[in-house]
Amino acid sequence: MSAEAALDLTANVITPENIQFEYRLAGPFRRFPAFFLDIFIRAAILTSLAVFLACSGITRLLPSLNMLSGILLVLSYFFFDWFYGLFFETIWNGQTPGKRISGLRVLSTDGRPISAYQATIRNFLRLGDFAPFASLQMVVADAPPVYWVPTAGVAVLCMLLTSRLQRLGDLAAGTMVVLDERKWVPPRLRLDDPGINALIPAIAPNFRMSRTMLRTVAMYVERRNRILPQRRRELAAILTKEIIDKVGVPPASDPDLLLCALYKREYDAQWKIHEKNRSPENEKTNRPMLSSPRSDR
Amino acid sequence: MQLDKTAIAIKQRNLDELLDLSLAVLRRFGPALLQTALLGALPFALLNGLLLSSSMVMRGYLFDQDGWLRFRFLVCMAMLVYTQAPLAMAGVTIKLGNLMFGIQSSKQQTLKAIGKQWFSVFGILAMLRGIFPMIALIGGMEYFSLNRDFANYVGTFWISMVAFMIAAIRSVRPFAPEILFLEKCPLFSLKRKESRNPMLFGQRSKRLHQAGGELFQASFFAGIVSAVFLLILNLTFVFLVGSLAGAWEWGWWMDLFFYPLALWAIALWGTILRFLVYMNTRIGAEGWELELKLKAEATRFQDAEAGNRVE
Repeated sequence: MSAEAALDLTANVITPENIQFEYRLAGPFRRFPAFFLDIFIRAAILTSLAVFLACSGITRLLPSLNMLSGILLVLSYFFFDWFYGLFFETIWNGQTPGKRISGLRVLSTDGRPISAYQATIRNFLRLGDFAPFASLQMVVADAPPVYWVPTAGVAVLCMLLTSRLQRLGDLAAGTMVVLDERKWVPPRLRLDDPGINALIPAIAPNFRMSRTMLRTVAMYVERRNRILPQRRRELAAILTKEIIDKVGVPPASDPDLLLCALYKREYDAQWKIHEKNRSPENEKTNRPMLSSPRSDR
Repeated sequence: MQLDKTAIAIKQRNLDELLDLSLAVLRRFGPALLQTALLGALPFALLNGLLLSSSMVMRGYLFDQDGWLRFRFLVCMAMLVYTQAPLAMAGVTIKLGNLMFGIQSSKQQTLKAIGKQWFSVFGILAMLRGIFPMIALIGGMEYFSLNRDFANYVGTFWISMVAFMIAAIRSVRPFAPEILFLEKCPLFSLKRKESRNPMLFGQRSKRLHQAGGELFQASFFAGIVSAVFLLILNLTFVFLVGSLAGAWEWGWWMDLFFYPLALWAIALWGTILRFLVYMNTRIGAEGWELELKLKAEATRFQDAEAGNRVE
């Protein structure tokens, strides 16, 4: 197998301080709801403005303003179409209302917040992303010969060809769209099954799991509740049939419960150390944290 | 082969993430997949051409530009490609399965893998999933229909109905190619106990397609996205032909070459997306990522023990 990393929708950014951040990238399909929401918001504002101008009676009071309201609407359309994204992405740190609702954010490819200059470039080049423009005449012969139907072929092609799923505007501005997510810390799993507690003392004290095995077992315990019991046992047996002799528990032990017992023994010990280090006594004496998870044994 | 070292990161994803990932897969494995797709699609494309294009030429389509004839042609071509795609793209499915674990497979090996399953392929994909019935229906209509209006209106209606039924089956049971070509489940086995795979096709299909609602939702959205992509590709082709040759209208070159090409491109993308949804379904329902991790861990433990014994 090649040494290439597993394909995923993530971008790693290393800061000058040599700290690595991983961002989850948003491609065309995750961006679409945000794009649609922004169009909807713009259309709603413009419609409200038009309704206001029509109902307020301003044009009836001053007939000369009739044309002016039309001009105002056209100008508003132009303003919203060209400056909406630019304005919000600049003041809201890479987010428009649509992106904020959809949990997306525009970032520089080096992980820094985007500047007004970058926001301008990526928003002004949106027109290029919509190309090629089709004419309705292609399919309806009587339609006017105006090329105005955007196909967004350029945007799709650019996203297909770039590893950060960037459209043309992103490429020119050096930006990428990522998921604006907070780091989720998995909660401490409660494993109170009596079968698990009964197995823990039976585990040989000298049995130690490797780092990778520990991680795999933790992953299993975290996911097991969403898997059917029969399938759970099938899965757990893949590993337990290899290690059961070393673990020292009776061979007929339930594989699922055995993995849970191994997890609980390991992580409860770590949790106790963690709690101990966080106790006010330790905080007062400023004792350094124990680095090894099982160093209390 | 390290089972937990896969070419695509294995984790549970949403549908929109899978759709994005399908583009990333196309980018990374594009050349290999395109080659395989081309080999698979070519015989079917020629057959479709024979079925539809020749009769269109014979009936004077190129000269009288009959609107209904063109509509029927577009519908029939789309239906043919839609029904043929799972078999035509069988090579892509096998290739993706191999690429996932870094296995390089030749064209001969791929063909051999399809050939080994010929009976199930014939029964499930060719017959039950409508490849032969659709070819027979369209071929019969094109070559043996005496009444042109009947073929235009009633024929198109019936073809659409058959395609709709096939779509309904495929939207709730989409993973037949994966079960046949990747899991190699036999349709039935006389020597079942000796068989490498203890599950038959029907059993496996029932177990894998338990989340019918989610699969229908995925198929529905994939259908919408395919239609949009088809439109984008065709309009882009019209634009390219217009820019290069000055012919801006949707002419016969679009009907005979670029439209089928766009349909096959969508079929390739659809196959990649189906493979990703298949992986996701296995992860969600069966803990597939756990299975791979646990198997890899068991192997590592065995190796470490063997090393200790030698020492």
